Amino acid sequence: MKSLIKIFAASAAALLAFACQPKVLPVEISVQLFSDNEVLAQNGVTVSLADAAGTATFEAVTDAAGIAKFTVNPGSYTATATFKNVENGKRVVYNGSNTAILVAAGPAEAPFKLELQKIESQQLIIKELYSGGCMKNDNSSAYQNDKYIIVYNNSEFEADASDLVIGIVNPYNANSSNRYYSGDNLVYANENWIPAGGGIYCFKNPLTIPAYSQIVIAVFGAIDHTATVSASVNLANAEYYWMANTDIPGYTMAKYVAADVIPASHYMSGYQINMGTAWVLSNTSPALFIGKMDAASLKALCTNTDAFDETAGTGNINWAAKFPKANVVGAIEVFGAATLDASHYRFPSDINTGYAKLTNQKGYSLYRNVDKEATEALPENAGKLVYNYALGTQDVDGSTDPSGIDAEASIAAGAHIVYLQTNDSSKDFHQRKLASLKK
Amino acid sequence: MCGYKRLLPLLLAVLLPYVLSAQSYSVSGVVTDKNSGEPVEFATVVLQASEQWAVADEKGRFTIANIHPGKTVISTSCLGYVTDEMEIVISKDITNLKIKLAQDNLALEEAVVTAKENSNSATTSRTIDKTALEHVQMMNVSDISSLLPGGATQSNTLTSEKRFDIRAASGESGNSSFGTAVEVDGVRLSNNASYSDIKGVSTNNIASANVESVEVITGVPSVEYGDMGSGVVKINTKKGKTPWSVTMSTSPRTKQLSVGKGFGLGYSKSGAPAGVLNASLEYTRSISEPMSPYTSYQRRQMSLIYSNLLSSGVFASKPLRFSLGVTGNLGGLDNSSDPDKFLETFLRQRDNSLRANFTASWLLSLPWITNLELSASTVYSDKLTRENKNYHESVTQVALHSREQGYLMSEPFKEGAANLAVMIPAGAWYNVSAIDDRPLTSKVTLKANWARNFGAVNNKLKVGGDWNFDQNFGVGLYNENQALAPSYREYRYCDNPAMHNFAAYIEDNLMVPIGKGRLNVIAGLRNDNTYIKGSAYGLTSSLSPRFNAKWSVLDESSRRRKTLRALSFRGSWGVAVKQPSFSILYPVPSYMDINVFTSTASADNVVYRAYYVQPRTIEYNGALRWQKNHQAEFGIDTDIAGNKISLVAFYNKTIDSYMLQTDYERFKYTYTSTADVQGLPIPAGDRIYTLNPSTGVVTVNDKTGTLAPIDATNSTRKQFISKTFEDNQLSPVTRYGLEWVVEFKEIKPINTSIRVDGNFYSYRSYFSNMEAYGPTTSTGADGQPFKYIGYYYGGDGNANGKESRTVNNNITIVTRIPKVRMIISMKLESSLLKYSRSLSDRPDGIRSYSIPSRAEFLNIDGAPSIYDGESYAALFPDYFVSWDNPEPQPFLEKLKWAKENDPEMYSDLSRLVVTSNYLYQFSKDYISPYFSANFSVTKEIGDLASLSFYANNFFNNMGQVWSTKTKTYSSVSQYIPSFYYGLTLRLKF
Repeated sequence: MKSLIKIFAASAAALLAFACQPKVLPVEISVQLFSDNEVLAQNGVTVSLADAAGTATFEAVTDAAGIAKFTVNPGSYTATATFKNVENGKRVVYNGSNTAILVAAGPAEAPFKLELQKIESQQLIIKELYSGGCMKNDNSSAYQNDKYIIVYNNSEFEADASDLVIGIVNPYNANSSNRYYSGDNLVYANENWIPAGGGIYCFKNPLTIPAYSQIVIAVFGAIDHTATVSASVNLANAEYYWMANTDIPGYTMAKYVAADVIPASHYMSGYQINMGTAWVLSNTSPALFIGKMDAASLKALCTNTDAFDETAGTGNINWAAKFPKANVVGAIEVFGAATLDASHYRFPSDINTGYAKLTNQKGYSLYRNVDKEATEALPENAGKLVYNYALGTQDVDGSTDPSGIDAEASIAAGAHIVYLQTNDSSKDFHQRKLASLKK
Repeated sequence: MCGYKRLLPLLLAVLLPYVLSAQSYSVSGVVTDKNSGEPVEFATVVLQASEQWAVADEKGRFTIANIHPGKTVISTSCLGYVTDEMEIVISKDITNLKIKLAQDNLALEEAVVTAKENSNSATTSRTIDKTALEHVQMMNVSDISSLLPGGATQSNTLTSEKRFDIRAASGESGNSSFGTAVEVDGVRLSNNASYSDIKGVSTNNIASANVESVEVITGVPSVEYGDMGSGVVKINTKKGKTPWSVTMSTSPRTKQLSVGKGFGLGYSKSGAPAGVLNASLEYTRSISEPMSPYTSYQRRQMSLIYSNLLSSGVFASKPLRFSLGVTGNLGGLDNSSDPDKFLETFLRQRDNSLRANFTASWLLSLPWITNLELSASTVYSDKLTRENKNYHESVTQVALHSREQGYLMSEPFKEGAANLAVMIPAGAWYNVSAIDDRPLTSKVTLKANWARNFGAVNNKLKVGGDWNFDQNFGVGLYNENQALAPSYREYRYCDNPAMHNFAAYIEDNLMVPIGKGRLNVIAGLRNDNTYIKGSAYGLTSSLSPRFNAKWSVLDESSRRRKTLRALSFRGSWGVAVKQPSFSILYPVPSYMDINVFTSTASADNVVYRAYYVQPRTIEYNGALRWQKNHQAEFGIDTDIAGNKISLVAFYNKTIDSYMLQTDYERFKYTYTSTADVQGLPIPAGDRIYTLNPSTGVVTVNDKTGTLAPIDATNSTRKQFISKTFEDNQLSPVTRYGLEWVVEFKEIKPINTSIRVDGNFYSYRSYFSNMEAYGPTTSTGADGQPFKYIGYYYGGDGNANGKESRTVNNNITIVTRIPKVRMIISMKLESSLLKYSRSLSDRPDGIRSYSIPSRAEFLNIDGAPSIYDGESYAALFPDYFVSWDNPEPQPFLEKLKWAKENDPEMYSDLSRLVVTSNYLYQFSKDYISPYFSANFSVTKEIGDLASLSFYANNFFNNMGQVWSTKTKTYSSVSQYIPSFYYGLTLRLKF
């Protein structure tokens, strides 16, 4: 009985003591998104708020002013937010945190600032370039009319590719005499343009590319090349596009044709800049770029001879259009394996550094490496990624994809692949033993 | 003209009294070997003043009758002997004249291994004899060009064609090599019946081992020589009784084996000589690359020359000598054994030829005629080229064979059908293409001469005529499998008419003593009449007057102990006319094949293609003039204390050079895009495309008959298409220069002589024809075919001409050791000046403008001359036409207007502006001096054998030369041959 009295007395004392402490009330706070010290008025972004002990995490979604509201007890918190978007045709990732959110008792006067870092990458990328050709069945010589380019939407958003253009930079071969060099300096390195030679191709009809999807562009012959060259590729596919010569009277190299299965709406058009009788894509070492430009601007660029550059040589033969750097979306600089020492960079470093090495005439293609971290981070890829990539050419003085992910096999398994974009062709591309269209 | 017509009657009036009044004598004697005393059979004895001759019999005896009195040189020559010359005065019959000939070998003190100046000639002429030819181990007769003043040694492979180019350099205007006449034993080798480039004959198929001597006339030649521009090369083969000779030569690139003999055929029972038969066989194989000795040029040549003298019976007092020669060559280039080429591909180029000639010289010794000479020759060549190529196409291709204007759709090959546009299935195949080129050149010459002394004056009159004939019996380009042949058009060379040329000439050669010297004047006139049956050219007539004079002030024969031992001056002027080649008269037609439709590819890669075929060559240009060369030279020859100096300055002007011109004409056609037929209801595999030949409308037919035919939509395209034609270059090509040869007196103690020879050469030419150009293969700013054509003074090149000057000098040191019959020579070839500059000229000044940058081509006001310092240059057409407005419009004015008012027009017209590639386009280019040294040695081992060795560029100069134009160094190997060497063994028995 005594014991019970003691317990009751202690409890009563404790309750009394607790009841006498001051009361702590939750506080309503707001966190506002910023980027480059400017308010980022982005609706629908989830902001996380975690207490210092890591025991509680709150989430709220921003309103139209980019403000997320929380009701929390006073204390120390860390706010984080990340979101992806497409701005001006570029894939944009905003990401940031604020570890110094100190919530005091009482009403908050102003939103806490959450500064987000903006990371841009191109939405449309050159995924693969097959330009080196392969050997004919009788090994008489190389077959090189089967070139193709794959442009890929490297984002989870649908891409508008209607204004996409394809061009090449003078000189066409990396090892050719390059009159754009003054000593070791590329003379247009600090200009706002690159010299687009030959011609520039564009699409005649509106074109969208779904997320993590691609378009295949047949450069010369959009036909089944395997009919006569078994090592080649079949480009007779209704979904493929063709760099047609039919709308460009000066492109008189009529031997390039398209299979009937390719709809006329997939015939590309373009502008001839100089006197070449066909669009040129080097067998050994092209400098290929993709860009974005509306039709009117493209016509003006390619027909305004006053704005042409003639550094490469006499007018009609070597004229190049000054393609604005700001309109370049992606580029690949290729050096021929046999002529590395004689090769020169044709892209300035703010567009591309490094080169992809190509041994031509063996059916090899240059294929973009997988961004392992980003790809594995996609939740939908769980269980779908295929590893142990075996189509690299490192065993024949080539290269392989360091991610180890077999992108094409993974895509076939339903995965979404995010490719690497460092704007360094030596890091972004490897030499693939088989062109990806070679099934 | 009138002057020429009066010349002949005047001469006859003056000379006729002498013709009828002179008394005559005879000269007889014996020709023996200087060493053995043996008679020299078949030695030819010639009296130079009267041009009378005799041939020694088996006892060395000879007699020349009916000789008019006077002083003359009696010249005696025979194969294997040094020609002997001595002066005699004929005032009575001379009997038992003893002539001793020295054998021509290295035991002689005076053996010469360089080109010898022909001191008796009134124009520049040089001879390279057997000793020199053997010493340099000539494999191609054109190699002797290196022995001319300032001549440079070239690579000695036969896998590329070589030709003579006298007083000119390669790459120059004026078709100089085409104008160099080459004769072998009087047989003219001609490229007139050729349909290839306008070039001189290749000398690759002339056997070198059988050559006895080569005479090169670089000055104004006799009017005997027609159909030429500048320079005559006379190659003389071995004729006469000789022992067996076997020659074996080797160098890393060339091997040669030859056998020859001059057979004496004895005498008939009546004592008449049966003649001499010279036979020679040569096999030569040459490769271009020792590392891959499979692609080779081979020469297999056999030559038979029969010569005889008729001196009995009716010919007893009027002997007649004649020769009949046949030479056949089988050979050419062949790469079929090259393991580096692909499988069954090959290239075989025949270089077969058959040369036949007949020459008869009849010594009439009549008061009004001395000699009558008839010669006839023919050269037939077989230059068939066969090339087997490997083809691969991933879709069906079309091969066009139509020569008619109009639309054509490709169709599968059908045996017996016209097959004008053959569809070749996709896949891989081989095809042999061939060019059958079989030119024939024939010539007949009848020539009479009349030589007399009139007191101390000697006169020789020559009258002659010739007819030459050129025809080509080849069928041109053909393919051995028409079903797989690529596009080509039949053009049968043999269907074109022959070219005939009738010429008549007269030449008088007067030798007048003046003081201690003499004056030699040669005046001649040649009239050529070229007739081409059935051609627009019809009969073309031309005159070639030529004049040579030589004043020998002091004669060496009478001044052997004086310091100034000889002095002579000579001057020449003349005109030479070059007949056109068939490539000029009947250019191979070319065609503009405009692709007007390309279908989509069916599942089995069948593609139909349609073309509009437009023939674009004008076969005849009725205004074409025959190319002419005006030549003048002045020379001084002297001997100062045994040092012989020869200087000659020359000036050549070539007018009306043959050239190819381009013009354009407007054309409109129906164009059907691939997109117009894509996705039509008729399945691609069931389609047959047809074409309306009149309208160009494409119809898609269903071969199953299920669906009705569909006419494809189309559009109209307007385009300029080019055409070409032969024309004359309006501005002349001028060349002038100075040649020197200094032969220093031999340094007796060391048996060594030094020769310095060289030349200064200057060339200048600019093109002044108004020529059309438009980038018709590019797309205009409106997205349609480019629609403007510019007309440029002197063509659309940055430069319309070039000037160059060179100074080359050679120093040859020759050491003779007659006791051991050896001769050693070292030749240092040097280029001391090598200058060139591109020109952009017109009569009223400079035709290009200096511009600050290539983009600023309109910034030309106050611009400095393009020749002042470095700058980019812009060339504008004088005027232009557009497809829609064929009226010429001033270009520059319209361009400036368009810049402000019409962006599309400005964009297009600016494509007609030609800007220079480099800042230094018109800078002077001086290439720094460079050198190369050759070493040769020849050793005779008794009379049985001789051995020659040479090493060219033996210091292996692989240095660099500096260009003041590009300001860069480059390898000297582009100017001098790489180090090479060779060895030759000759056996005589």
